[in-house]
Amino acid sequence: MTPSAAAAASPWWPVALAVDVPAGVAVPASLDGDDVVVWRTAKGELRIFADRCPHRGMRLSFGFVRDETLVCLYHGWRWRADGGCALIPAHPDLAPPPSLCVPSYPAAEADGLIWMAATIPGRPPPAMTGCTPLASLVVDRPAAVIAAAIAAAWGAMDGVCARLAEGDVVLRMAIQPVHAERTMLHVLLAEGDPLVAIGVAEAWRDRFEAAEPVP
Amino acid sequence: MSLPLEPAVRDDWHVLCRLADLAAHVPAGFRLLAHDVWATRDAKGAVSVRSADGRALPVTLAYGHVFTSLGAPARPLFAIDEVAEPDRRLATCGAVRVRASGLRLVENFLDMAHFPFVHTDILGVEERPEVPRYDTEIRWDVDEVWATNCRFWQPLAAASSRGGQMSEYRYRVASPFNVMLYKTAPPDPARFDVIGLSIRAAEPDLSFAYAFLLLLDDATPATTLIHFQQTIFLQDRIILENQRPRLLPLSPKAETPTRADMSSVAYRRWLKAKGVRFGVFEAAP
Ligand code: FES
Ligand SMILES: [Fe+2]
Repeated sequence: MTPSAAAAASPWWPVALAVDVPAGVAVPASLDGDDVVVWRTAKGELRIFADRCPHRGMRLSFGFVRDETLVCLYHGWRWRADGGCALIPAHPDLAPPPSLCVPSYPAAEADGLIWMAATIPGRPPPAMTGCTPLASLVVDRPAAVIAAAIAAAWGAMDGVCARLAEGDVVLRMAIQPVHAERTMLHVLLAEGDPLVAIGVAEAWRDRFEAAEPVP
Repeated sequence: MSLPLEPAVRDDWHVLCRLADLAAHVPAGFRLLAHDVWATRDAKGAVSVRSADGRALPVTLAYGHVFTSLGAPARPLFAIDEVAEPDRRLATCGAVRVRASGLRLVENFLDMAHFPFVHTDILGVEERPEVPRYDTEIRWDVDEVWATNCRFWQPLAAASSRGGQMSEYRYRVASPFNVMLYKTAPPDPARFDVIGLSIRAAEPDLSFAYAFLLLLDDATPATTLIHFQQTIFLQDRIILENQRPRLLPLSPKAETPTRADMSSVAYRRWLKAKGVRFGVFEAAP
């Protein structure tokens, strides 16, 4: 699966577990080498912005949330949920021009996962109904290698999602290509004991990391 | 192989190390502008610097540091007149390694607007973030960039501060990788402390920052002064290593300055006019 091939199946990509981004928190994520910041306002509105402040390029994921804005760590410029600039502290009397804004991406939350899309998609992200988010596991292999390993072991993937049954455990996984050499597996529990399930997921993670390159 | 160095950078003076860091007769290797150079100090304290192909390079010892050039400097190393004043103390702070363009480091040094957010409760407070209008000029006759009449409220302006003060600053960019500021001295507000920052640009995106202080304060122990400066610089490093791109874009559209960034705007314009490319972000054609 290359990102573009999977994008044809679903324009949505998983970038975080919803529990890892509570209200008032900003976290970094990468999709295919593009750095983004996933954050929620104090009231809990979810947003995904480019991880680069328009002012002097500081990564916004190093900033902090204050009320309904994301504050850049470098000079404290405040960015609203609509991407516009609310305040330039060095010039408190100056109204930031409406053209001044951070690029943002479509974001959605469903069944405990946070999804992002490059352009506004015509449909909702894949459903994981009834699942409980377990963990996000890093694998230092390309997404294509992991997709091939999953297909070989569990059968064809459904877009960026996979399903695995092992013993009494049923897992769902959503796959995030972080960059060319790194993939994030977002693991959800469909059935079974969570402590057993996390062991199963980690064993698969290790197998993926040892998987042969795709010929 | 890298591009040949542009004259504005090749023929300029660059800091190599602190003089005190060279042991007698032991050649020390340094990376400078993506080249290897070797420095040796003899028993009398004289320093020689050679390029990897054995060429003897120009050397100037000043402000506790060794400066050299990969080309032929058209003028002597920048002069700081205050160094001759008898009541000045020199303190050198050592090297801080930063994974960023040296030009980004200079720009950060020129920037007052970040004090309340990056150096909170030391060089600024969040309640007083305003940067009053100041003056900037490119002095083409001496080929330097200056920012003058800079004022900023500081709760703890220096290691010797007893309380907050409205600090007055003058910034001077003496060459693309050498910058200094003149700042109200807490012990004698009519005179100025001088803080210099010279950058060894090892690679376009890897820098070593050498700070030195020429202070009027004679009471504070040198270790306290150096520690104060280190604290400030380590706070800046978190920023510098997380700006994207790591290299400095010179195109006016690449980033969004505001009035407080007038010195940075002048610096970028001057770098562009001089044809500086080392450490500059070139957008893909
Ligand atoms: S870089 Fe973000 S406020 Fe300056
Ligand atoms: Fe700073």
